[in-house]
Amino acid sequence: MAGGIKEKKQKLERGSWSDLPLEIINSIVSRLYVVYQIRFRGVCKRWRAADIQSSDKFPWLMGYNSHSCYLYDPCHKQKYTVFNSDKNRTTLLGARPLDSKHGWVLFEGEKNVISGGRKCSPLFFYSPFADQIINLPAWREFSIAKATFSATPVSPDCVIFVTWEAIVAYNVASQNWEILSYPPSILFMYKYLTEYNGSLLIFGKVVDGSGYRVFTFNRSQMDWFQIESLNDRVLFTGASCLWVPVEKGSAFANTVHWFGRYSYIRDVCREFIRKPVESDSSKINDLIMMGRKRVAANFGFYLLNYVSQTKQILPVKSLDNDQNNNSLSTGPAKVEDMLFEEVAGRKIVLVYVDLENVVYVNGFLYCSFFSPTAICALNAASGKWEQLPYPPSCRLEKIRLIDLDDRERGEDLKTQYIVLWPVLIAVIYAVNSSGSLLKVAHEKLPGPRVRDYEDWEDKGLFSIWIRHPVRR
Amino acid sequence: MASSSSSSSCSSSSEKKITLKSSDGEALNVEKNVALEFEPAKGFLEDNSEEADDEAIVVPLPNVSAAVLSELIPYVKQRLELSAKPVQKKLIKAFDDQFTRHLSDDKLGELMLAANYLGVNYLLDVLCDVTADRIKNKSVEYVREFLGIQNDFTPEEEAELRAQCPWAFEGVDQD
Repeated sequence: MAGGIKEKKQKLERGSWSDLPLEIINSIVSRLYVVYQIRFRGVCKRWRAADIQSSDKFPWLMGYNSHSCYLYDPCHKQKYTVFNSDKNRTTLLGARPLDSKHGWVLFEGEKNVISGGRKCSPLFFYSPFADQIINLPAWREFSIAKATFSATPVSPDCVIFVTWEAIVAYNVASQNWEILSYPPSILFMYKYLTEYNGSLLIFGKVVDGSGYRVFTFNRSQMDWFQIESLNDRVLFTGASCLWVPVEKGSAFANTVHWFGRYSYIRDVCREFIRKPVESDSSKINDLIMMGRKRVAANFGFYLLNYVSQTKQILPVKSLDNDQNNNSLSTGPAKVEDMLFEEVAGRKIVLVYVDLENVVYVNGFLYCSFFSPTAICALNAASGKWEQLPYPPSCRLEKIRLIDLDDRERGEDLKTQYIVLWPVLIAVIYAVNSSGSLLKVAHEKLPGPRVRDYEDWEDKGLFSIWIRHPVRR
Repeated sequence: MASSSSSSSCSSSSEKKITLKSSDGEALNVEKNVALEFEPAKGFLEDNSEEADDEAIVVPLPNVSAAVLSELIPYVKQRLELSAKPVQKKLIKAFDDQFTRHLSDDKLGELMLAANYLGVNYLLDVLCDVTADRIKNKSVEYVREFLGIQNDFTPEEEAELRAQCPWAFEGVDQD
């Protein structure tokens, strides 16, 4: 208010609109539907400077493949074509979404950058709202597991965190990559971290079978507090996390769902790791081991058979869906690099201190590890790690997030919903006696129509929730 | 401009009149509590709080015409009365709707500038809503004309802007 008053006007005339200070223009524009905000950037140069801000509770869905990109607004049931095949572009070819904030999606591009004789994955940001790409400089070899970022990439405050063998951070202002080591001595378990209203949340299934629990972390007390209800919201997780309100009493209220094809691939890998891979008791000298390829830029987990007598490592099975993966034959460089753990008298092998996910909340990069179990926070300003206490009196197991092809756990499928598509639609599947999946029904939540994006699926589009641009 | 004791006494002195002088030199008598809703008037009254007689004070408002002031004053007065009661938000909204419904586009602009200058943020808020509602889903050209804004883009710049997000320029309402 004070700033506006200072804008002295000589006199008022009819049609005095053009005298309005920018803050008022911002205020008017911010009330408009985000599409109009983008359109009205074309009114004049001052208006182009106005920020885009959406008051919609729902993020949009971005569907894309190598040559086309669409946006879908579940609130207004509108679909927009950002670009399509006639333009012959390959912006998003082979790209995997890592996180989305402020109208931008962080992508891991196809592995085509040669760095030191190795292929590595370039990182880039894409904004469908501006159809703009920001490339990040390549960082040696990348086997990106998870990544997140702290602010809009056009801001100098933006820091991009990538989990690799260590955590690496790219600072937009200084244009430097920096290696941050993992915190020391951590323990074992699964959980999923996310962010809600500026707080860190964790959810997972409790090992004792008492069900799912959600905890929120209070930084000032350095303690976890259980949340009894998600307040009639649904949490969708995947490459980006999304909370959406649903109708009270809806079957989806207070549930958590997993989505994303790429997330699925990742989580298949993780699922294997989570189950301790034990040696067959009849072959005491052999160990089945999990490994992640250490040398290749390719991301992938491998199941290996360690024959202790000969100290040979033989590949058992590739868990990587990547067809051009030819790295199995090489195996891990050294057995000694792997961690061995004694669990219930039997030896299991855990390769790698591995990271489940990362989430950036208010200056802290929170990481959850499953091998060993811990939640740690990296203070982005000081670079110091701190280990968070574990949620009270329970061990959190992997939440029962059911994926379409998760046939191993049929008993769960009978009672669970499956979210096929990350818009507010769930496809409910049941498992028949032979273990096949049967589609039972579509369950529609208030919001979009099924057919609005069913064709996306037909087109083989990948998707990610995209969070709207925000006021800078 | 910290709030001072003078403002705390406003309810008891609601009967007192203050004179506001418009940009075109007209003097308008208003209740003191109404005048205090206008930031420049409030500041002026605080600065001149030693004056014994409020009646003698003339607050100059060189940026607002008498025509606009005479629309604003009854609005603010009624709005104050509404806010004093434990009224439902619905009633305030209905009152705001009634006030804004018949405003011409030009009047809307004048009021907005005045509300901004006078720091009447609740009115500014309502006016922003109304303006947003009037230009939504219109073409860029319509908005320029509506708001009397000069297009300062070169044709190339404008084409580039449209090429960035062609989807945002589709499906425009008829003017």
